[in-house]
Amino acid sequence: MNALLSIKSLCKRFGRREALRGVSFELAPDTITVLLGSNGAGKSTLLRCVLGLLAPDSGSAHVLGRSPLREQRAVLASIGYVPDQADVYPWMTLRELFRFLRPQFPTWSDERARRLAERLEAPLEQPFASMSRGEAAKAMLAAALAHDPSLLLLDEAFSRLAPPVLEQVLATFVEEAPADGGAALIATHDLNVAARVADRVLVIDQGRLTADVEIETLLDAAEGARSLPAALRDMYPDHAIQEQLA
Amino acid sequence: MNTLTTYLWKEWREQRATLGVLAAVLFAGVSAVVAALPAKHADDPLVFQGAIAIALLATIMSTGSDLLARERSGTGLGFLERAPAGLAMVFRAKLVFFALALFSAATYGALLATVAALLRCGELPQRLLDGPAPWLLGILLGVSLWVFAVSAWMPASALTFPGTVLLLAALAWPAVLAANGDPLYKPTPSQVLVFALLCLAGAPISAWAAFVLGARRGRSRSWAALAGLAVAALFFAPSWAWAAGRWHSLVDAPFGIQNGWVSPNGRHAFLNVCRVPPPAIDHDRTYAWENRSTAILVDLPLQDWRIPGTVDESVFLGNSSCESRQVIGDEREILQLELVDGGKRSIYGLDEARALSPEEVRKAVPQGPSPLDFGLDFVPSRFWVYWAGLGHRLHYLKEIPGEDNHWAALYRDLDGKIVADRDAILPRDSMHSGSGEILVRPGHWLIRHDLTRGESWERVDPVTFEHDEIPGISQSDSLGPLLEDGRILVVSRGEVFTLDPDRGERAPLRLSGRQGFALQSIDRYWIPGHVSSPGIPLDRPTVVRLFARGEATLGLLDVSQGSLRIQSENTGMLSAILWTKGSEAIVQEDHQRLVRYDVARDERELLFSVDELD
Repeated sequence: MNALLSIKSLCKRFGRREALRGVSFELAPDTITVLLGSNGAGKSTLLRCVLGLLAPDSGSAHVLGRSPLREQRAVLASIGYVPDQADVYPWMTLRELFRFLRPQFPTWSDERARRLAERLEAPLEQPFASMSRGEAAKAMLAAALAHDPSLLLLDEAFSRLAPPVLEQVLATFVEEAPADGGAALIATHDLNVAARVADRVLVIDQGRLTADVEIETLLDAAEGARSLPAALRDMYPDHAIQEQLA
Repeated sequence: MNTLTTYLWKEWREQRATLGVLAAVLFAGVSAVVAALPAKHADDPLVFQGAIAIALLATIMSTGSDLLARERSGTGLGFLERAPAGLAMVFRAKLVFFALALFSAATYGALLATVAALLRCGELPQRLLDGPAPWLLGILLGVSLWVFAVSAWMPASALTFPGTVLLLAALAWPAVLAANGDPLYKPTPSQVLVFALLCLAGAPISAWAAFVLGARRGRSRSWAALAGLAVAALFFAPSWAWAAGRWHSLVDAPFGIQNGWVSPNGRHAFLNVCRVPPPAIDHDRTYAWENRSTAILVDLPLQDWRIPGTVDESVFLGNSSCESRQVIGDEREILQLELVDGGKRSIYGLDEARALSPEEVRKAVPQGPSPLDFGLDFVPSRFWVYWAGLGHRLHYLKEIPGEDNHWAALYRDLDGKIVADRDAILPRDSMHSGSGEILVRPGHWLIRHDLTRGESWERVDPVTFEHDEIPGISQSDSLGPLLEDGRILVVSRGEVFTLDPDRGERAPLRLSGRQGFALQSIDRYWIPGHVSSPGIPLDRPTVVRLFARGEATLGLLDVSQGSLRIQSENTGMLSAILWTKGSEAIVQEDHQRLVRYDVARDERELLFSVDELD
């Protein structure tokens, strides 16, 4: 299997705080993986290392065999990224964002961008400054998917969304998520989201990868338990995520 | 649209409001200024240049200081960093946008001023870029690049301009030194070009280091500022190293004697000493080195020295280039011997001059005829009196009401019986005008012409002003100096004669002393500050200076004995002869030492060396 994303012994320290401690995993093509962890567990740091926005202290990250540090332009062109909060210019509209991104992605499709905007009902002419959180999240997801990325990274993109918006976004994500050899990595602290979309769950705690379980296994365990968190607790009784999932 | 165009569009989208306001304010400002000016001044180049300068300055202060700083402190940096084009493309677009903004602002300012002038006085402004405008615009553009660079380091746009001023003040100190006129820090034109190019190239590279390298991968703002500063320091380093090298070369340079005077009794020497200027000082600035020199007073018998004034105060005794008495206007008491402050350059700077004590003046001040002795009925505001052969020359400023002032010269024999105007002796329209020397003597006066192929001589009757050839000399002979009785020495093919220019009679002199010295000419030399006649006495031996090809030495001339003794080899180059008495002379050697020679006894005594100053 050629891994789409390969993380090996990744370590990153901010001063005295160890944000990542020897994280290793791989993402296979045609999979959606959820990176589950509480706030400050190291999810965002890991994604920033994958994007090449942070240089790890040791270890490595490779996207499609390329180093984000050495071949950042090519790596970024193959990635779609949705942050937890829209960080584009407040004056920018979604249409202007499409126009801005178009020449930077060789695989960009205006047709796909238009279709995604329509499907998500993201406002094309409204500045981001006046968008609601849900509208901004939908707009960012449309922009991230418009070039049909090989790897889609979502950093708490579904958090704090109103239930109807979350349903709409998840439905679009499931249908439009990278296929044909692509993969997605969703950083979240919401296990229910994971259960809805993921093939696999990685649990990160205090910078260390502490659990790696197929969603099928987890769901099977959940049938004998009261809930998904309970199933996870049963599978990893000494796990620090216990408190978080409680 | 390609990637760069989309980024340029983004910059325009962010800056268009500011630029629009600027355009409106500039329009109103230029219109108001031109409307307020009288019509005849509306096409003044200053209005044109001012409009361009203000447009540029406003663009630099608003857009230039904001482009990078806004991105650094705004919310979009993370978004830009994630875009495949990266921060390098952002930077490139901002630089291009800034250049376009500057060009547009300058064009807009020029157009406004042109149209305003056309409407106000119906004519297009002329001589638009006269005066220092191109230089100032160039400097403004250079500064604009550094404003752009500093904006990448600063936490807020408002701090960019003061930050730039601080940076340029600190890092461009060598340029300040050069602009200040200090001869030590005067670079050559090619050095100026290199430093200017480094300064211009350093700004965008420093901005790139701070914005692109400094902002990516989560680096802190202080990291970015350090990166930008480091690059700036790197590009300013050559000019700093050069300036430091100049300073070091001066600090370590040996002392040298610039010029000096010895009192008539041979007891004291006034010397102006300074560090020997390092090479490659611009020639036209070398005079300023005198301002760096310090006068010392040497007691020659005791071989002791002291500084009579303060460090960097020089002593000037008469004119430093000829034996004379220098008097300017009514300030003769002050200027008979002046100590000049280190900042003073002109001998006319009376306000900075101060007098020595009367005793010091008495020791060293020459005396001579006054302008009234030349038949003038007034004392000119500026004049100098020089020796001219066995008589004197008065060089003075002729001021005639209603006409331009000009310099004139009168010649006077020692008795004051004959006074002649230079213009009468050397008619302005003759070939004799220009450089040359008139030697006053009994009978015919002699005229030496300095020609490119050498010197030529003729004589003139000071009463009838008739010119003719001097009998008894050939074209290759070297003449001078005069003897007290009006005869003149002639060096002809290594032999020495005395010549009576009136009669053409020659008498040979006997040579002795150093063998193999291929004598070419003899010089009576001048001794600054002394008023004794330059005529060689007939009744006692006199020290003269002898020249061969590329070499000079001393000689002892005894006219009564018909002999010339040549001093054995010197130990250094004779920079100047400062004093003589009989067969003795005090000379300045190699600009380093004062040495007493006794030519008759072939003795040499070191009196003072600048080595004692270290």
